[in-house]
Amino acid sequence: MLEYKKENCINCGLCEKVCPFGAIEIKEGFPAINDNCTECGICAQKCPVNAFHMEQDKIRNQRTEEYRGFWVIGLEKEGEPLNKVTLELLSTARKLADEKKEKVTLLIKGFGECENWKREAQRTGCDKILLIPCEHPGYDAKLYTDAIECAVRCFKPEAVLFPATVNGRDLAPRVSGRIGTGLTADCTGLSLDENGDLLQVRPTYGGSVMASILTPEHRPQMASVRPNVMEIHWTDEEREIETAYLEDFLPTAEDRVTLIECLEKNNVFADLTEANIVIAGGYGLKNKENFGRLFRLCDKLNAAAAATRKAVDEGWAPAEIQVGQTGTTIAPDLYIAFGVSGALQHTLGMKNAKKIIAVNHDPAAPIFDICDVAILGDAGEVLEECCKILEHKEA
Amino acid sequence: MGRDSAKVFGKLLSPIQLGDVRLKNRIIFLAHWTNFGNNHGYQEDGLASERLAMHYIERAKGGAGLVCVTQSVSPGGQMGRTMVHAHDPSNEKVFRFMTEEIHKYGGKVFGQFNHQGHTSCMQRPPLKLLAPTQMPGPHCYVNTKEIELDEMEEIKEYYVKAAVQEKEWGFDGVELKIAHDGLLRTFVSPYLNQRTDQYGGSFENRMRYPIEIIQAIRREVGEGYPIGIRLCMDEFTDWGYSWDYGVKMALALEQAGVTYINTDSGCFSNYNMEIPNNYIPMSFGVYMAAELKKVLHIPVVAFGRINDPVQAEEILANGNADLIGMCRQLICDPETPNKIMEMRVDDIRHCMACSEGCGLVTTQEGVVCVQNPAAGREKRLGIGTLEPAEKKKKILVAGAGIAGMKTAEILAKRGHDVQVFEKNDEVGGQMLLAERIPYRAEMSEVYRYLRVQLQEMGVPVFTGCELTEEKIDELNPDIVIAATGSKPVMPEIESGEVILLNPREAMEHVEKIGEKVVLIDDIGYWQAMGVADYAGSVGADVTVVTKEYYPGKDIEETCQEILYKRLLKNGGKAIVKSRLQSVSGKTVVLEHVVTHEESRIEGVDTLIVAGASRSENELYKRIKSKGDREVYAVGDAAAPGTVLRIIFEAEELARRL
Amino acid sequence: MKIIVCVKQVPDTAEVKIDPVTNNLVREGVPGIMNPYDEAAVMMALRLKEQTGGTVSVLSMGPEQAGREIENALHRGADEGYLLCDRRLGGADTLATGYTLAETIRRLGCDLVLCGNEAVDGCTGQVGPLIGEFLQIPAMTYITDMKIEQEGLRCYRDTGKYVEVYQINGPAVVCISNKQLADGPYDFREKIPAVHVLDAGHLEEEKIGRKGSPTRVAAISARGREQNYLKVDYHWDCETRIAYIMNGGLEKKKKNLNRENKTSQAGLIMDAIMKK
Repeated sequence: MLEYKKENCINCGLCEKVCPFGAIEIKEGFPAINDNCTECGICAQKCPVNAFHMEQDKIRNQRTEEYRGFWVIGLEKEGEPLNKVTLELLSTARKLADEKKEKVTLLIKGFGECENWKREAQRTGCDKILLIPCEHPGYDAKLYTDAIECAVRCFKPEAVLFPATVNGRDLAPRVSGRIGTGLTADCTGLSLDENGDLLQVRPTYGGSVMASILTPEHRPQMASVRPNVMEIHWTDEEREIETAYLEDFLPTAEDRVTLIECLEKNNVFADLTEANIVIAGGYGLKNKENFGRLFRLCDKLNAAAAATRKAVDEGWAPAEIQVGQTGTTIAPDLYIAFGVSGALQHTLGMKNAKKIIAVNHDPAAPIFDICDVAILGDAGEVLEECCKILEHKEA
Repeated sequence: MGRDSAKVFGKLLSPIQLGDVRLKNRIIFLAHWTNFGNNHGYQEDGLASERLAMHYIERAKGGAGLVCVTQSVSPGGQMGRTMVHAHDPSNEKVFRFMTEEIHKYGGKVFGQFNHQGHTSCMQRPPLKLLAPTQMPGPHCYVNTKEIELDEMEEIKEYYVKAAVQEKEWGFDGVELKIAHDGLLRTFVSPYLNQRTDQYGGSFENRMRYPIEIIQAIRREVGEGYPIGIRLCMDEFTDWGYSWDYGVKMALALEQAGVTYINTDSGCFSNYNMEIPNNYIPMSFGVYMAAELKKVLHIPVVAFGRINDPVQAEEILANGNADLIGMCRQLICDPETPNKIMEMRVDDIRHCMACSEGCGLVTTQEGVVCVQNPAAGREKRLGIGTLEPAEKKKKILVAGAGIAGMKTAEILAKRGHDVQVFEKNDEVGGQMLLAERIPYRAEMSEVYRYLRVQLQEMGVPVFTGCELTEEKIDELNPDIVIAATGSKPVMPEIESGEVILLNPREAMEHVEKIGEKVVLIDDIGYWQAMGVADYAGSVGADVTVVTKEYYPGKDIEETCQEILYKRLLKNGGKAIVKSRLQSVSGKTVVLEHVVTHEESRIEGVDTLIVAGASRSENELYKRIKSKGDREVYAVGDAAAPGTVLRIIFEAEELARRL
Repeated sequence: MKIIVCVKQVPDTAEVKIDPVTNNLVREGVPGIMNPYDEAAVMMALRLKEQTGGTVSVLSMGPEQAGREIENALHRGADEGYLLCDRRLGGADTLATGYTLAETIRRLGCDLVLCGNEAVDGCTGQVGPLIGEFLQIPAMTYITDMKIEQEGLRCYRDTGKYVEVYQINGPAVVCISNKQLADGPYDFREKIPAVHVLDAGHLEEEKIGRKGSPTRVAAISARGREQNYLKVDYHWDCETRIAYIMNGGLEKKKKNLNRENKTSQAGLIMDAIMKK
């Protein structure tokens, strides 16, 4: 609640200057607040005489104290391993929870055996897996929304993190609407402020402005995060991980919506953002034939294929797999670059890969400055040799 | 098509207002040294020529929004005798013709006024060099004259006179150069201006002279007439200023009423940064424009190895600049803006900053381009001059190196039925090796562009297929073009325990390069120093031997300097004025060319001899001797040469047939 | 069929800057445009109207100038335009905006709601699903195409890997993520009805504007743009500046270039892959 006390005002006009949203106009010496005000409170911070003042809602402290724990929503199907983004979110939740000595819970749809989930979740520091008992396969917004609402009312987590995947971005706002709380999408940074509230940082205005967002009075605080933004931290700690079912929950699917079919998109390439191994081709591969080899190699090794802008421009690879400033950003465990020069525009998209191996015939190629293993050679020829080795192994 | 390009290159193709002048897009053909003014000796120097006018008209024809014409503003202000004079009324006819033609194509033209000050020394013997404080260069030994107040006043009057005159002649604005070299930059430079009167000693004083000139011009031309500044943001010398000073100057100039700032950097003392070659990355200068964008309200132009529309659009979309300055890109492919508008982005021939063509301006040669034979020859070879063949002929081209592909390209564009045969699996010929030289990867553009052109025209290029006499007899063409290249020639010497390689082998089989390499530079060109750089980059210890005073004598100046530096940085060295005498065991014996003293290099495992190649033209000779078919040799097959000569030769040949 | 399309006027994002001296958003002179995804929704609605008859109404929440976008839609063939314009609506985050639009839609009544999947300024993609939640109807996100068929509404949803084909029965919110649907000819209508300006009278005060927004912006800052270009520090000496530029901003590491034959090089690569 932003309060203004005219009697304290000394007409310094500082508030007009510091307001980031242009919401204050000095009229006849005194500030007038317009529609742009978002009650961010910066004027109250900067006012030398406390003419502006942010009222803290006392009720908040009581209510918000009841909410504890950091949750992550997993949208995996039963039987699938946990997605990379889920592990990233669990690691983030663990870091936040440690600061307040709270617990981390993974809420995910499942019925029976989830040993593999337990193993992976435990290694990221998850304390509990809460299972939504439901046999409905696939993603259903209503079902998930109902389940999360039920779980939240039951357990009162202070924060819930969603993966900002296609379905995650579909689900999170429905949940925020159902519960009536705040949601910040596509966060690039999550931390706790001095009050222990979740500080949610995200880019806006096409990325040119970074906004820091708080949900001061409502609980749970909700945020979504894109894949490859946070890092996975494996912990060696021996941690007991609990599994439980969400009780008193009767799942009902959305009956007004029917999934008729799932069309595979033409030339489906493995999801670049999820892959552990990415094999990229650049201009140095010189022709479509070499790229054909690269795609087949990726197929057989379950690696994802990527390409540089120049290769895409030549028509050797489709635009969906272009990595770089104007394409996708990735951070795989292993990145192998065939004939990629390493110009800045491309490396921006992959420099966070854990290990980089590069093959190029130019000893001064910039990629050799950022890679871990530098191989001087003709990219097409070395790629052909790799294919031969694989054929040999299969035989 | 048009709608697509407006979406994809929305910013680049959008108009912008500079003062009263509206530019149709954000692409500027930056002012540059052309050497096209007529040179008749001291008295009739600096006359504008048709060649000069055609050069600029061509870029307007190609779609550039703004064309800037480099001119000397006063009689003593030329950089070389071929720099055209802005103030000389004799140039009226040519300039009127030029501005009219440029306007016909929807382009605008600004005159860029230079007084070269201390760099009027390019011509030998140099004119009297004027500078704020008497001191040599520092880029040359010749000392300057400390300019007197009445001389300054006179030059100022010339600026005003030229501006007014050119406005009459159809120019849409002026750009003052406070960059690279020249009087105005020496005034603003803290190191070069140590005057004690009101024109030196403090920031405000140093800026006084340029600002007086700006204000004097402004008074005569009125408020809306654009006065822009090409500003050197960073001198890139150890005594010079860095870009924070450039920002300070820009703010002062904005205050003085300047219409836009066109960023630039470098000076004669660091010529490398003045005309950046391929060793300097693309978009390297964007930070200078971006820093200005943070504090200025007037438009800012980005420069520096920008040769691609996607690159340019990104710079504009990120708000790092308002306009894009392209110079060499438009020399290489004047139709770049039109191609962008038509979404023919693949068709754009990218400048690779090799400096082998345009770099010749320092020798006072007219500007040319290795990839564009029409540069400097716009009237004869420019846009729209390609005439279709009178009679469609069937032509076979042997060899898909750059000579063969260039000939095929022009022949096909003229309507002939062309087929190309290449015995190797890949097209490109020797360029495939040239592109492996460190930092020269962009050389691949030469054959990439030609390959794409041939593909688009449906010209069959058969790889892995040698054109033999039998095939020729079978296909029975009207003409055969032999672009069969050349072979390296090795000297007859005992190589002892040392591996003897020619430069091509060394680049093709890098595993043969050992640890200690001696390279004999008998060609003075990239085959020597480039290969030496390659060997050095893969870890070898390289010694280059030359009979001249320095290796790489025929390599363009800025590249030569960088190659030499890289040789030394990689731990190598150059032995000059020496020739190879013999090899025994692992020792290479050299002999000094003048004193005949012997010297030895021990522990050598690889000897690379870079000498002249010999044409491989058996096919040509056989057909010629039979006499029953029209046959031509082009490129290395005629005589081994450089990309510059060969592309030009191929174009000329193809236009004749 | 009665269709309501929600549109938002957004700043042309490339123009939005932060004043480096005050660290504030520079708001003057920033032109407004219709959110491109909303434009796609408008065109899709008009095409559906052509197919099935009915009406297309356009709704927007914003200040007075947002009315221009509604007029834009009316000129293209929309039947009615509504602008929610009220001081009390200011400072709304996505939750409050979702409630405001949903409640207004409920009053106006319709069979189908179309909107863009996200706005190019906030890029949250939240308002569409929120409208669905408040109206308790399905909200289909990431829709790249849709058709009205006998059996109902058919939607194509692009999830990256697949295109899911759904059939919807009954009213729904459809969020368009395909900008290309904005392309296409239309007849420009000179005379358009006046835009109805609605105030917040029909809405609950605690759920709108600042009061109805659980999230608050604590701070904003200009995003460092160093990564888009080489950032040279003017404090460095000349040699360092030039070396930095020539190295492309990278640190030159002493490389151990592998120069073995291609078979052993390939072996190295395959080993690294197999280990993963």
